[in-house]
Amino acid sequence: MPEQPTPPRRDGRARRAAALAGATALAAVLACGCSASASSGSDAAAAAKAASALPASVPDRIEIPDIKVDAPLDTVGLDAQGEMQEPDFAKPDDAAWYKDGPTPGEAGAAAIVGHMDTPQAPKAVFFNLKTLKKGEEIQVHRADGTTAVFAVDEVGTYKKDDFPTDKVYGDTHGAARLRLITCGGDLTADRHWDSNVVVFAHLTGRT
Amino acid sequence: MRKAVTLAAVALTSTLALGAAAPVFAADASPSPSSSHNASSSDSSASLRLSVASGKPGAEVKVTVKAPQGSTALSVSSKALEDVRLSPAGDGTWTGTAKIAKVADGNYGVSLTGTAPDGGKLQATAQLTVRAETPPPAPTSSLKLSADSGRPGDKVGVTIRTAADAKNAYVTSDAFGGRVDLKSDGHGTWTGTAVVAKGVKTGYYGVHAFAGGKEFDTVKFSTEAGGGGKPDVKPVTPLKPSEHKTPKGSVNTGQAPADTAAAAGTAEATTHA
Repeated sequence: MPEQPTPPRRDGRARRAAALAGATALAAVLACGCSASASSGSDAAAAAKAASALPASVPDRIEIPDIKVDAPLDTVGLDAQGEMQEPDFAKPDDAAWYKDGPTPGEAGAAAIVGHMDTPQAPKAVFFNLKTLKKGEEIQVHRADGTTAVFAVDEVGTYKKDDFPTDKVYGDTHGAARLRLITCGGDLTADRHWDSNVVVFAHLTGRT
Repeated sequence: MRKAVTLAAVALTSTLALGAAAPVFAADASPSPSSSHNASSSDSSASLRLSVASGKPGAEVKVTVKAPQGSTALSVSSKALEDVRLSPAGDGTWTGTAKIAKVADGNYGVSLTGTAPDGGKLQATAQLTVRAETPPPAPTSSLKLSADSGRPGDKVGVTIRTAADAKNAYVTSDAFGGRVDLKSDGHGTWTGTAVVAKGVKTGYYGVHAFAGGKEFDTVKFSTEAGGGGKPDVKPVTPLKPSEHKTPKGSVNTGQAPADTAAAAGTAEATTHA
């Protein structure tokens, strides 16, 4: 689901009108329970206060103070089927950046994945990801010495067999977005989880 | 029942007079804790002490009786004790051992009765808790570092898991410039962040983990001096936007431990902000 580009500067009346329209649209989204549409609404709202995208730089650490995450970043790519590789089960306290996509802070939807649990670690790095709330901060440290700072827009839980690929990885029209992904939902027979928890966030600045 | 106990107590008195240990009560012969004494005949000049407050069937319990010298008919009884053996230890003290009987889990009274030299009744009680199952061992402490190597200025997450009642937990290492105190979540998990010391030299350092003031583990941490304090840049270069690839569908990011049964949350496609 492509999102709206950053709206041009408006006068006060226009802003109020736009806000009213946005509220109406959001109410409609909530009423129909369509999570994919909810994304575009929150992303559009976030875009109004988003920071400009940063140059590309490989990330090496992620901090999420509200859930006490401070973890090094490995990398994952794609497997032979074109699906994202799973993070290293031997490193339950590490997260991993999806290296075949944008770097965090760069224009586009950068993705960082981490385990919720592993057979050896009941509480892995992203165990508490689902508890994040709108506005809470995510910091991604990058190899160029900058830290890309993001704010949470929303958190969604999606069945893996109905994963909203476009909503998660779709075109951001030049805006810098971050997606944090882990597992959730219900246990399957083989003790995996039947859903993914996805945190949607937008870039608010850099330090 | 009381008559039987009294008879047995007389037998004990005779044995005590000879200074020899002798079995006194089997569990089945004992009165129930509630009927073995009454408040009106209690006497504070006698005392009964057990070496343990709880135990499992078959375990040995040491019994210590204090009563005026010359007391007679001293007897200790409880449904939860068998093979009680008392011997005079002098100075108005009798000691002995007993085995915890095969009884159901629960709290049992242990009673002392006897006759003081002046003919008055002696009584005292104690409590014994019987638990057939051994309580689970205290969890062993563990130490986890978020990285096993670093350069000056690098942050290293430290997690120690201890028994829930541990008073403190910390690590010490020359790599971190000394001691790093950790904060507790109140449930036995202690976390904190260590920073690799600025003046550290390249090499291997021990990270010593303490819980409740006692060292329980040491792990190795390697350092590389210099480098401006920045972590190693991974041998990965960002792709051009035109080279980005969109993954297909979901990603596997979890597998519960074998003993996990509960669901972590809703499986519905839901969102919240």
